[in-house]
Amino acid sequence: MSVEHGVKVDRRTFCLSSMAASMLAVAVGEKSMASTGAGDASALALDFAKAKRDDPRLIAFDNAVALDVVQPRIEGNIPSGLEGSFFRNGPALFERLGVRYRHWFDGDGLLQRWTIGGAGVQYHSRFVGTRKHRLEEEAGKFLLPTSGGGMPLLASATGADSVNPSNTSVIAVNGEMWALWEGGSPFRVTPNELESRGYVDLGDAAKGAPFSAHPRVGADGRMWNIGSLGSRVILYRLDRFGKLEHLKVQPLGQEGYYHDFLLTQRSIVLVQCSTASDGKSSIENGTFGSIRGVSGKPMRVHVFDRETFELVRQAELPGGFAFHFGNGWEEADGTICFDICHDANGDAMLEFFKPMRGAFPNWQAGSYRVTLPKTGAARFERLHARVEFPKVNPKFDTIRNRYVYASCINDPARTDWFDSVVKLDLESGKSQTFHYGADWMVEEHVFVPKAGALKEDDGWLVGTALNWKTQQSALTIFDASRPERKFLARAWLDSPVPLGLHGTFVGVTT
Amino acid sequence: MRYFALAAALLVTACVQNTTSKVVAQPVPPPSDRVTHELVLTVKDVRSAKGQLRAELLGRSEGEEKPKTVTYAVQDAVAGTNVIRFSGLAAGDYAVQLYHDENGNSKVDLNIVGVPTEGYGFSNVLIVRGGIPPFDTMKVVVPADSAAVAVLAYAP
Repeated sequence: MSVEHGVKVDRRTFCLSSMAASMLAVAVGEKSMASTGAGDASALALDFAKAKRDDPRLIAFDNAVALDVVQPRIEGNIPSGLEGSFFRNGPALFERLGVRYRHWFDGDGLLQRWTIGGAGVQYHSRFVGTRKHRLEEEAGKFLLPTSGGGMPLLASATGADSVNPSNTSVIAVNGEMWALWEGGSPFRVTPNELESRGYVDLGDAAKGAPFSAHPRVGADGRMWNIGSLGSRVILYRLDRFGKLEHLKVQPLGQEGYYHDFLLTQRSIVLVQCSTASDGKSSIENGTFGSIRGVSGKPMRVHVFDRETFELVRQAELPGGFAFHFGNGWEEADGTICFDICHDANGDAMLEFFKPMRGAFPNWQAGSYRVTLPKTGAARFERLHARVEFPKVNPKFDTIRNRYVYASCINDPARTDWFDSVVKLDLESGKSQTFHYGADWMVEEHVFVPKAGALKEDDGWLVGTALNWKTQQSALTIFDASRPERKFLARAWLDSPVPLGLHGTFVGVTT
Repeated sequence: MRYFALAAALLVTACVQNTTSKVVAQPVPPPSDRVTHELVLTVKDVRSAKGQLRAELLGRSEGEEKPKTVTYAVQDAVAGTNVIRFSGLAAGDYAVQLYHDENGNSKVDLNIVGVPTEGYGFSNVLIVRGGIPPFDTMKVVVPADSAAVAVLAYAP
């Protein structure tokens, strides 16, 4: 393993880590929430309870409880050949003792597992047993600050993992599951019982350092990831057993939020949003409240060699905000292609304060196809309006793909949440949409390839959604070649689960 | 507001004095009143008996803006509560910052962003808030023999 400390330790280093701003906020005793309207944490709980009485959709952002459901009701037929477990992570504990978090992304992570196979479907969920969660369970109240600010610090916090909610994604690594955040270390969980095993040890240099929720895996099983330091990036490469191979900090030359990245067969492609950190806002509103759009600032693309981590080239994209990408690849001539969910609103991070006070985020991101020739300007072509959670056939990760699957808002009157899943064709620009309906709030759907399949879209699309009208969550399985047709099967819980973020499917044979 | 990184720098300085496992309290310059006192620091929540506790005593004289290092102490760690004694002190304002050098490599280990990966704490600070607190927060006034408490916090 090689570790390059390409960074001098100074106070600025610390300031820019996501945890640090929370600490800073606490240290100065922040009070005013005026700039985001995020509100006082105690008043928020009352505001939310009041709003929820009038709007049953808000169950989507309420506290969850851990559940075990044996044989949930199945509608349709589970396709033979689909065997394995669908895992999902997401923020799911927002309130304790009348105090409510101010930002959706602050809730403690709830890991869910839907097991699909010969014995039907089983459902289990458990909160990720971080130190933070354990201490707060014992105390019955919040003790630690968060990235959305407004929380007191009542227990010692030494660094990012002291406040790590492990709530954003979950991946399978060498037979175990890693619950991921983006500001700190991955957290190990057993795949079957969802038992917590503590933080992943990637060595002292990486311990407690930012590690994004969107690592990407190459064809050889090695894993790449990024960690955000604002105006710098930590680049990681792990072997296929999850051991650190290479770690390096690289400067980006400017600030700008980033959450996800792209991996090609040669390159790491990092895209910085058109944001800057507003220091005053970070004091008032935590790290999330400080991430502000800068008008006229383009998005900046940085391409690094995925073996050496050296900067290869940079480019610009239209200004705005992006959380996620589906997939990227590189042509022989060095042209890099990828898809992006791009919102022209640089203040998009502020939208996710809203669910905590009983309102819905205004999500206007469209899906775009990006072409970055080795020299010359980037091409940026719109594919579809109002999409998120782009996913591709994992067998096409890092190589040229034709299809991207995403959640989208189909009904133009909807202002709350995604109501559909869509299959986008990057080559024809056409799309096929399954409209869940007005009663549904649709989460991310992942692609599960069929064994031995040759065609890119020969597989299943598997994902969860919340029916706010019946107050039930469900797992739905589609034929990924024709998702616009009626779904193949749906497994219903008897109760609602708050909306999750990212997930993965682990086949019994993989 | 000071930060981990600064803490790191200071704590690294503290480990330069790598001596035996006994308390090492170096004599301070003779105070004007020729009377010396002892500061007894009780360190709580030490999680193991591995390695040493390494502490830096800071002092600030009247009229001075910045505290200066007075001396260092190094002693073998005991799981639970440990006591560190600084003797021969003139009356004045003092503070202690310390860490648990569990792997005994005589330095505070930091991750790539400068955050300690070993337990650390400060006099008068029962809840560690991530960085080095201001001197006045960890200050112990030593008018005579005095006592103070520090609680070590570890990265999870």
